[in-house]
Amino acid sequence: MRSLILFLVCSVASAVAAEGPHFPVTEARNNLPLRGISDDAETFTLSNVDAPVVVLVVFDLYCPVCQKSAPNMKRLAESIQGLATEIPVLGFGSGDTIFETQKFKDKFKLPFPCISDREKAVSAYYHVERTPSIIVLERSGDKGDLSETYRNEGYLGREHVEQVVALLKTNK
Amino acid sequence: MKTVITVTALIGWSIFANAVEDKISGIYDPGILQPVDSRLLVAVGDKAPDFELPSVDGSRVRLSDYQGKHHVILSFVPAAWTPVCSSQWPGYDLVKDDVEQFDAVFVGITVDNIPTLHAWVKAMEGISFPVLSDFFPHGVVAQRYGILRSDGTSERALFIIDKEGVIRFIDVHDINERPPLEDIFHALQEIHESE
Repeated sequence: MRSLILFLVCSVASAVAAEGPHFPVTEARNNLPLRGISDDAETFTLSNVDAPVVVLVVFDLYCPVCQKSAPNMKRLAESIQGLATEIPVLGFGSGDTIFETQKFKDKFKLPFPCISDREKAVSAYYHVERTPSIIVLERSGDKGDLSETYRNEGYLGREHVEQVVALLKTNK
Repeated sequence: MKTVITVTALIGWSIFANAVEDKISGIYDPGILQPVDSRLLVAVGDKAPDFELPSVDGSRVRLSDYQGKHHVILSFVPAAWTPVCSSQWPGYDLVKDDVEQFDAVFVGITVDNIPTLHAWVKAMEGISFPVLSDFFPHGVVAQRYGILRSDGTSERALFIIDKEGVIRFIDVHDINERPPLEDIFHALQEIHESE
């Protein structure tokens, strides 16, 4: 019986893990509609986002390196918006409350939705060890899983912005 | 079942979550500590005990110097070069302009000595509000407020003292966690509305 319960717990837990963390839709819809997520959905996972590529920006309001990198986060998002293909950029306030996440977004005028990740679920799921982190996830085929094709952890410089934009242009 | 899954997931995530930080080099991690280890000696509505302490910038700062001019957000953190403390004041520095709109200023205090604070502040890329040393006589200000812990560090505590020198908000927080920023803004808003 104990083995059965353990098996069930592990199976369901790994299913949750494979799907990734859930986030409130209301927060993400702040300034960008997320394609693939129905209007009545309360939460979403990154695998729900209907896009061939998703760019994640993981930051923490309290991290000085994140504050220093923020102008380049903005530059990155603006450069991506300039590309012909629509590529969602999603920010996650790692360990930050909704208020703190929004404050960081407002302070640096980040032109992408920023979601509070109080429990650092994104950092855990994607094994992020430092903030800020930029992760590019690309989908294999129309319905395929998102897999990582680029990552930078630590200070985000102009050179990293250029690397991401070049990668996205190549894979268009 | 749902509870078991949630707990399992949270344990797994928390293991990774603890590994995430912005890596100021030289940080010492004391592990999980007793959340609070002191007995508060002041209350909301009390006159805040005055003090004068040396600042990292070489000046001496007296609490009563702010009287009639600014509300003071007094932020005690337990110790320099520890994980949560190193990711608290840089956030306050970022919102310094926002609290100034409420006529408020941050003042930071630890029980560390000035050379230690100097090196730590530099590692945090600078803190623009006064950072004061309650080192000698050791922790005397923390003791007067009732937030000196038994190991000689202070609690992670916030006091908001209004322009009249009266304590309007106290949060002696769990030492292992960062107090939410919104609590400060809610308290400032309340003070503002009562003015």
